[in-house]
Amino acid sequence: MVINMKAQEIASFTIGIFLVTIGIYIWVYEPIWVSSVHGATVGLIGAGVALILIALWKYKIRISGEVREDERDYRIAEKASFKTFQIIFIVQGFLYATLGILDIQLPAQPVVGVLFAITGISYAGIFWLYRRNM
Amino acid sequence: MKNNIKVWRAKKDITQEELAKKVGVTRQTINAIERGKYDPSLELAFGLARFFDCMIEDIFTYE
Repeated sequence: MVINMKAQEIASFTIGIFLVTIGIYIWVYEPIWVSSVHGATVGLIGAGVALILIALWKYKIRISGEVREDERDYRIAEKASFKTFQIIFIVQGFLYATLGILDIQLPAQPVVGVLFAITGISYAGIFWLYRRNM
Repeated sequence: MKNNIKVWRAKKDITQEELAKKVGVTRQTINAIERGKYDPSLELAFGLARFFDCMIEDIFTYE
């Protein structure tokens, strides 16, 4: 049988195998740097299995020749992604500003700030990258 | 953008499903184009024109 997987399917499959392997390693050896062995194991193996199944499912659909996604779906996904980004960015900014103005000290406050920065920088960076290539 | 895919489809006597398979998209996309809800890419427009053996302007009208 000739397996003809696309780069994206191979990447998804490989990352899935990697996550499952790490999950099994943590489950078996229970390293001291893992605070919650059960949580880490379930999370990693669950995410890994999901990635493997997605890769195999996409491969099966592509091989069968059935069209499940097309340009309209990609355009819808673009619009949905942009709207989602806008909502998340605004909510994060509002939350961070509110915590700052009201001088509320939460343990998660730096995380909100870092996520806010990562979201904005990621968007600007990826936008710039695509703008150069399109 | 207006189009008359429905007319061309009727001429060829094929269903939305069959046309979708021929041009490599989903039936929902053909339906959305026919209803004027979605403007196809140039690639798909050329694909449709090639399938119906006509010019793009024969199918799509810019208004």
